[in-house]
Amino acid sequence: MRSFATDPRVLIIGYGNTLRGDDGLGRVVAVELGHTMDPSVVRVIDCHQLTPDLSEPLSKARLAIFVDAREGSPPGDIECDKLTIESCNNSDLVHHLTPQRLLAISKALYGSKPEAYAFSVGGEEWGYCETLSPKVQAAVPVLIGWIERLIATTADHTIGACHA
Amino acid sequence: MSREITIDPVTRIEGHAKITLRLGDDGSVNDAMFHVTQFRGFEKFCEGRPLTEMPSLMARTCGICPVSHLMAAGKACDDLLAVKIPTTAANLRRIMNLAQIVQSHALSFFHLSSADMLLGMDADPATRNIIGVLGQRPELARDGIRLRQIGQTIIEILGGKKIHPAWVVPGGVNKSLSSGDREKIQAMLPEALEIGLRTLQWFKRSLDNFREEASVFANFPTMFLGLVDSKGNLEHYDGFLRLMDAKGDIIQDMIPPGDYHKYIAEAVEPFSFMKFPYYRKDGYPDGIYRVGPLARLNLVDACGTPNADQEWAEFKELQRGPVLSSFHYHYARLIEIVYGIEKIQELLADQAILKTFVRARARPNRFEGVGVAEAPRGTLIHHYKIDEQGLMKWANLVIATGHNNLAMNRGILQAAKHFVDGNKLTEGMLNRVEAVIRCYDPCLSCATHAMGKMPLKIELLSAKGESLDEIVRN
Repeated sequence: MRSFATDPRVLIIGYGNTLRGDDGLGRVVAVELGHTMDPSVVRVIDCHQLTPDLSEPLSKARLAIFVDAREGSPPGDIECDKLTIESCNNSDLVHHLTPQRLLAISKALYGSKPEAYAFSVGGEEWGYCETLSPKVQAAVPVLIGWIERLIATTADHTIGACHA
Repeated sequence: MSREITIDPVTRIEGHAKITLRLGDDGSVNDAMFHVTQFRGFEKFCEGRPLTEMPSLMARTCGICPVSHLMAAGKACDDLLAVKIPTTAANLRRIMNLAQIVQSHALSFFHLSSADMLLGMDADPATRNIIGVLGQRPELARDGIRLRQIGQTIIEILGGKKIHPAWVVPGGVNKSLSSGDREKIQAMLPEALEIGLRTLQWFKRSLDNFREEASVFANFPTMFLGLVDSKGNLEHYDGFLRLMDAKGDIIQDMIPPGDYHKYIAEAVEPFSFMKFPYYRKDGYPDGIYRVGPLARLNLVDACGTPNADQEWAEFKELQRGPVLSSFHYHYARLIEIVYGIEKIQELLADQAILKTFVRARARPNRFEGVGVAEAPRGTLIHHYKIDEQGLMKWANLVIATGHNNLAMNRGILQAAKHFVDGNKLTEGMLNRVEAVIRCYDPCLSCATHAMGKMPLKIELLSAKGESLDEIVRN
């Protein structure tokens, strides 16, 4: 996990397993954005999976963007969902947290949560490899453009609808 | 009529395991086995790789304690190069190792075990997890998150990333510490110490609620193994091996780490992929010993930092001689958190920590090398052999959790005999058997961990295979 600033207004969390092909999409995007975003405005975290520790930086952000790969959609297809919080007490809590549940933890522990969006890209290669499949790789610059536009449209601190 | 109960998987531990309980005709527990069901194979597939790759390669053994493997691998490579690394490099490695111990102990206590203590062993498993803790005591959950965050941030500042930093190299480290980064670390430590001490006070106040567990959670005489410094004080990075018996007598002392194999041998059992190390002189399985926080605090002469020493003195009052109940691993873990933070403060206060000479360079000068460090869970040994080109020919890893294998097996038997009635199973009974394992915080060399309830099916079968009772968690 690499962080680039302390308390900026926007938090981007890209997550996944870079040893499993397209599952590493979120981290590839996070690393790219980390190179281009202004660290005083945007904090970028790339990590293997979502953990409760992330609820603290999440609580300090006004806009949060989660980036992950998705199964069951056409490869390279980009989706954006506005997120709402999810109950913390669901009994199916196992190895990982969802962004929605992480938002709930942030709210419960620190009293605040940001507006949040989840960007996901349909993947097709989940085996042992460290590169993205061609269709998913082609979606990376498009996705980055969408994320940059979302941040730009909320630059006045008014979080509007997702235009992606 | 013999019957079996299987707890599969064991939850809230690092990695994958199951427990089998064998019952007698009357439903009482006759035998217990802790099976590690995953196989890793790191010792084999590193063969042929250059020794310079070993720290980074071995760190991949685990996503929870990669720093521990970095330390042991780095030291084994130092031994192969036959170099004494710069003192600053050794102290920087020491700081990272302590930060790893702080964050790992925080994970074990707050995320994996505090739910049992806060909500009770019989609480609904749907909420008996970190999320349940969050609901009941948000300040405790916040403390756990913050402490772990501080430990990981220190690792990130030193090594460039929180998991699998490539900073430890044969001969030292690849980057010195800047004064700005030192200040960043120093600024976090008072808060970390406050959290450590506050949690320790809460835990001590809760101890009375767990007298029964403390009396039967692997509460038996064994030896204890760990590193000490040249004065006999607590040491996690370097030093010498010490072995203490169950009465508190030191039976082996100041063993050079490279001689570990003269004292420790390893057995295997058909029911587990984890090896069973034992004290060679006493044979298998009589040579049972324990490692980790409980062992370390039992066998040292002092911790060496003010608050930790005060807490250690109180801890020693639990029992005359060594503290034998594995329930008190939790207590020892919290004292080590305090020690780790104080020791980092002490090391950073020395101006020499900013020196820029942090790496000794050499070609391989020996064909065999051993590196030993204290991981959060206990003594970690890496033993390598290389050829004339510096390529790995052979490796043996004696993992911290492995040292405790005999004690974990004996511990679940003791707890199961006390708590489990094979005629009628309850969730609380079986959680207590799992909780014995969690005392050791076993890391089964895997990056996964369960934060809450995992799918679990426990079936009680007759000798004919008839289902007598069943509990299912979805």
